[in-house]
Amino acid sequence: MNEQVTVFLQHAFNGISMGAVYALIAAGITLVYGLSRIIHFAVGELVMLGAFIALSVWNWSGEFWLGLAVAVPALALIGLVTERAVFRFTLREPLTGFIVSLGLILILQGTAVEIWSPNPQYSQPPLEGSWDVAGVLLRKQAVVNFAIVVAVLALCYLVLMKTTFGKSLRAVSDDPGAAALMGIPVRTIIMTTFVIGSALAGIAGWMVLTLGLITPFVGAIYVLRGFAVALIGGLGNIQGAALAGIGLGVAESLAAGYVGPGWTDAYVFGAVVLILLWRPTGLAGGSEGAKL
Amino acid sequence: MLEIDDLEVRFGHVHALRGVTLEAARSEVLVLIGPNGAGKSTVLNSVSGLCEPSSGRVRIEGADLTGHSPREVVRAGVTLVPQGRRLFGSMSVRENLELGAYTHKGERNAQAKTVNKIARWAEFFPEVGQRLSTQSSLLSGGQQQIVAIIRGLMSEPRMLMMDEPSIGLAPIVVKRIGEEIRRLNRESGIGIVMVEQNVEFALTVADRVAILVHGRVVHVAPPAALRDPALLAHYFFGDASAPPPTGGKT
Amino acid sequence: MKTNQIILHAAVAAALAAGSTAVWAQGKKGVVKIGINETLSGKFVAVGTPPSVAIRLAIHEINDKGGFKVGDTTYTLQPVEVDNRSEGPGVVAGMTKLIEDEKIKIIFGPTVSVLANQAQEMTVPAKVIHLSAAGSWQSLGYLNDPKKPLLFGTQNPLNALARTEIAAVKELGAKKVAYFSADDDTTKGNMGPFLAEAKAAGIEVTTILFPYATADFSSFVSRAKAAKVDSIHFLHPQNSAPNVLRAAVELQAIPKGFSGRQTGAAAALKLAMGKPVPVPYVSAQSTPDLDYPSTPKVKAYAERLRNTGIDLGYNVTFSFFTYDFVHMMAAAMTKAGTVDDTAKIAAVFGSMTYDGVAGKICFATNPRASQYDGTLVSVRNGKVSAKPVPSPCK
Ligand SMILES: Nc1ncnc2c1ncn2[C@@H]1O[C@H](COP(=O)(O)OP(=O)(O)O)[C@@H](O)[C@H]1O
Ligand SMILES: [Mg+2]
Repeated sequence: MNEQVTVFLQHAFNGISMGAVYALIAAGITLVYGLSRIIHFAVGELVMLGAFIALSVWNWSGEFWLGLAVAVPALALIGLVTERAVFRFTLREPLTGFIVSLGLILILQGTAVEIWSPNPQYSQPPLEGSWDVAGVLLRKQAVVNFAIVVAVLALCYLVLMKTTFGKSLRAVSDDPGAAALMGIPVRTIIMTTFVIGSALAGIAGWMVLTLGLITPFVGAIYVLRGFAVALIGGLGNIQGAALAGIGLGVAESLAAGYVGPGWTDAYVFGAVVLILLWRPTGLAGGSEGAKL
Repeated sequence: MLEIDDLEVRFGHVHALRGVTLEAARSEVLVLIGPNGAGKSTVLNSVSGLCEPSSGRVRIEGADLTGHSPREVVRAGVTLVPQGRRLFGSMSVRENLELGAYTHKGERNAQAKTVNKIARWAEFFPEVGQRLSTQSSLLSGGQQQIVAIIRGLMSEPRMLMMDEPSIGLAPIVVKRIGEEIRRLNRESGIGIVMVEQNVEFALTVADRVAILVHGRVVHVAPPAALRDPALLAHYFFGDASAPPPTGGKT
Repeated sequence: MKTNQIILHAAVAAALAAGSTAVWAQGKKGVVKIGINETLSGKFVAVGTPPSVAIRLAIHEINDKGGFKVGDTTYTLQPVEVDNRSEGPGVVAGMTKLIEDEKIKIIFGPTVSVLANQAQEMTVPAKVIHLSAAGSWQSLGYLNDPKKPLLFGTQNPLNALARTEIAAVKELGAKKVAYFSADDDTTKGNMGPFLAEAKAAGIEVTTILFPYATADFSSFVSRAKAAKVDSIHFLHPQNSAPNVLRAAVELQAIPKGFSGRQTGAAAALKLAMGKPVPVPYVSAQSTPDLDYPSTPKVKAYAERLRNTGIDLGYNVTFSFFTYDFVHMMAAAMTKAGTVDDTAKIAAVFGSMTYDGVAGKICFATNPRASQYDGTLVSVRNGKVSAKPVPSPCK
């Protein structure tokens, strides 16, 4: 293969690890915001907690994959608790929910610092090496992460489109008042999206762990991008989140590979602003959020 | 089947309902009319559990459902087709109808029954039946109203409440909907409680008309007794607390 | 944060208790307070803790031996520590306390550049001897400034660091190297001397700067590979070195190997859960290495530091930014015959050579930066070897 093509494909492939993380976080954001209209900014800290829980379980058990198996239900539980203890009281005032989530960021970071110390923690995931496909080196962990995201988001998509639960969830997103009139338990559905969104953040956290380095402050990297991806993908739109997430990861990687790498953030958010000016409901189209 | 007894509703310092008492039977079409802001929607919303009355009672077939959730009200047999249709715009017509049957979820053969019901209504309203897979927000206003009504019927209510079904629709569509409403009442035995601004339409569809002014029911009569413009003008534009004019056209 | 402070305070209490058991020589006694203004909580806690702990350790050792003599008076040292919480206002409040309330004449810290810049604005007019490893004191010219004669940099001068780094690149036999570092001021201050030393050594450099918080380095490594480099040389942040190294190995980007400043051997050894990195690896260190000591003195010091029971984490070598200088300062006061004439103490301190844990230590004149032994720690096939790069001090 032409060397320049190989390099281009390598750069493009390099983006899928981060893209996978963005897609998962954005899918959670899309669900939670789509139903509650709460800008849940602490989602980055949920990712961070997922990473630390997975790391602790891995250190304790020696089983890398057990970290994933524990982080997901643990985060689902955290999602449930935060919804029951806090966010359900802010559903009529999503702005209050946003402010509460800012407070939650501090609480969760502080808790993580207490438990795991502020020092960076390393992890060297056992799945090492890469596959050589026509000169393009596919890092094994990246391929696995990508596969997990595809599987998880496909499952989410099927549940949303095909099951009664998924349909009632979309109905609440479209119009919670009308959904209530159908006898749909709106509050329970909203609670469930907090649980699902947090569980997705748990998977994302484990993935962040596979990248190698975590600190209690790692959430900040992901939350803005997660929201950017959710907006570009169209709120309430899982496929949109998946495509936009991977797209953002690849775009960042190409920028880092070819252009001044220090400016990737600027390019990325410049693109986000342009896209949203051009298509306010995102590239793939989405709802404008529920009116509660 | 539906009894509303001395219902009061406040929104902050807005006293929306000030002691509304009404009854509706399954055998009739009851239409609530009244000026804008009189509290008509609030009556329906209070029955369906969307807003919480500060006092008074709502009974369905004798059971007290005051302040219960919309889910329990639907299960008790009363379903509201809300003002403005409120279809799930991103979803197909079929999905909207499936969600109408949400309270039957978990019953035996629920899915098969839902499919049957959709098929039956699709036959009944072919213009909707041909568009089951269309995204609901792409339908015309009339079609959307029909979908909203069928969606309400999917829960198999004994009484259907409708909030301004004629609004924004062409006269010919309004006429058609009026006919369907009466047919539902006569042939399927579904009680109808309807709120209308379109008085002409109200009078052709109703068996009984209740006039609501400033959160109070000021008059209940068969439509024939209300074909007097002076009387209506009195309630809609005049001083509702004064006694109504008796007889004579102006 | 809180836990750290509690541990620190406990360690201090233990140190002081041990000190009080010492047998004192008869005669006049005095106490010299040593100020510490460090990032003991907040964002930079990992940077500020090792220098602070090392100061306490040195003070404890000096006092334990009965102190030091100045004229006919025997002095002991007393640490007075403030936590600036890694924030500017904390630095200012801390300096106010140390200078105005405690009347302290010798202050260490902060180590973080932006905070140290702010701190010296207060110590210079107060004529306080102020020591910090902050790289910015060198790059901004403070250590060359005749108006700031009492500022002392406790890191090797940038060109000495760069020389050690190029020695590491040469050790790998690389002719074309990718210089990896975060896109920030620290990098800008260090890159110039590195490029100059590389040019002098005939080594071609491709610079690759990444955003500070980068998690996945694949794209940057691929960029280096596309530029056909022999090796990667990594500057900072050190936390990211293992990730860059791993990406470089998996993407087969570094035929000659990997080098880095202060990256230590741990990264190379732990790359894949205990399995050593399959390429040659050299860490260029501005200080001796505590895990792989190159002299018996370093070995004994590492032991003493471990005995404090405080986990100093990745930045443990930052303890060299203070430890020897506390001992050296006591020696300077003895030699100068004063504990409060800061100009006189500084003149002696700045021109003497002290035989410390980090080798022969002395200050260069322009900039007034300390010079001590550097180290090259090499890892090949899982075997670690350390060799000192001796300081030019006589
Ligand atoms: N959710 C609400 N919050 C505050 N005021 C309301 C609300 N819903 C209705 N109202 C007020 O209650 C009164 C009755 O409203 P409504 O029942 O919608 O009237 P109608 O349907 O007869 O036009 C109006 O003054 C309206 O502004
Ligand atoms: Mg109304």
